[in-house]
Amino acid sequence: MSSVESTPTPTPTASAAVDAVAQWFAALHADLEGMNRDIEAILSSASDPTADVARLAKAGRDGIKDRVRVLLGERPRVNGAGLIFSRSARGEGKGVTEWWVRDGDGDVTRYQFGVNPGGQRFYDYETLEWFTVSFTTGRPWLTGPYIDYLGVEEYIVTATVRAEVHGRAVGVTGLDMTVAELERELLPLLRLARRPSALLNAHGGVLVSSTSSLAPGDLVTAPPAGFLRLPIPALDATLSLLVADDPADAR
Amino acid sequence: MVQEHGPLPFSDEASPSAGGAAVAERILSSISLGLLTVGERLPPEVELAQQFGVAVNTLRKGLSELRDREIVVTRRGRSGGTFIVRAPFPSPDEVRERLRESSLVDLRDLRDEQVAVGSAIARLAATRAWGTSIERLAALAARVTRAATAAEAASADSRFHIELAVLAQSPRLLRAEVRIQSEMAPLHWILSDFEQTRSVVESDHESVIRAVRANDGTAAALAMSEHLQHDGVRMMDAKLSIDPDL
Repeated sequence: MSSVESTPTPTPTASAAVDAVAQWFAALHADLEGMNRDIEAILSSASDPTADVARLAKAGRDGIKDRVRVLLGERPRVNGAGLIFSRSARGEGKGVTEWWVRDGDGDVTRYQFGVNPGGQRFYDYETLEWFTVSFTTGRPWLTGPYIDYLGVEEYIVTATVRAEVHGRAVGVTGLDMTVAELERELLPLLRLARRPSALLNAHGGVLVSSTSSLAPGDLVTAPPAGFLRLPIPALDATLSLLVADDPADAR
Repeated sequence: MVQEHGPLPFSDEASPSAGGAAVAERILSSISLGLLTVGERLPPEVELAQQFGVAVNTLRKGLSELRDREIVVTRRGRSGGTFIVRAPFPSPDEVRERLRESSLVDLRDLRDEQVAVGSAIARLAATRAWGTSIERLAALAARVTRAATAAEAASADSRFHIELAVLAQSPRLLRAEVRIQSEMAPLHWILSDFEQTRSVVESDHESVIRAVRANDGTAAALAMSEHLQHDGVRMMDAKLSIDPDL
């Protein structure tokens, strides 16, 4: 959806919801950027500028694990996090991933994806939105909701930023949250609007909704009658909040 | 989320001397017989080794062989374990045997389930998918066109249906579709005329993609339903042709 629509004047409660959601995403983005900077520093000091991503990943593995453990400790609703590398030659060589998820005992464990391009279950991640947008543009990005088929196999959202080492983009640093956990975090914030509202991703897909007329995953190409669309000033303003004009049928 | 099951029916057949390869074979035949289904989680290693009457190390060798063949994957984390992700691709003889054993009404029921799940998936995908994800679906459809053998085409065909389920964003429907595809795809392709089947499937998939692009859920559900009716007719014709005494 483009942002050429004239900016509507939101009610104070709608503004409160927009502000709360924006702050939540700004904090998430700050945590992700913080982790990314630390991981970039770990990788830079553990490698020389000629190292390919496979060597880089190996050298950084323990450091990435420790840093992800910190993030997952601070963010109990984040499922997993790490760095997914760009293969040096597209279509050749195996994928390189350093991704850590919670294990059953309060620690983290490395998640292994199908990284062999010849395999039936090859996880062709360099074609997926969560990889391509941040990697090619350098923008922070929120992908989802989507089912991560052949990946972590859950219904999730993924926040990403680009990772750069020795002045070169090497991949994306990201974190996953299930759509259910995202809802637990954000539904209380949407309810600050005191009227039906729904948070939309960059494509108009519903992330979280406080009205049964819009369900997560639904695509909203134009605001339904009686709804305003307000940009969320975080994550490059790619998200927006649909808010009903009329609080009468607020739930 | 995950199905669990009790002792496997093949366990008493295992001899203590069975090696890793024998363990792998036994698991494969359980999948072919439908005793284990795609999506299922195997019991923990220690338990499974006991059921087979083998050492845990031997069992691990067997699982490792199945992992290399991408029949099982082992996932770590809270919802981890070893899962069956693919059925071994059957030979034409095995497909013939399956069709011979199935009654027409069984096949009709398989088709009915596939139509119900597939049409719902197509409808949801059309209302939930956006531009780049639809292009990915179209790229997967093109793999059917490029397939050189029935086995390749069946695999590409399955992958198209699974991707549509991914776009529908329902984890439950995706699990159902993965299971259905592992049962049905070989039946749709192995015994029918390859070129003819491929041209029908291609044009059916195109109709589905067109409806998804137009965000037209009703048209997508209808196109999918027609596509799966074609598949079902082909499967029943194959059954009738191998069973002349019927």
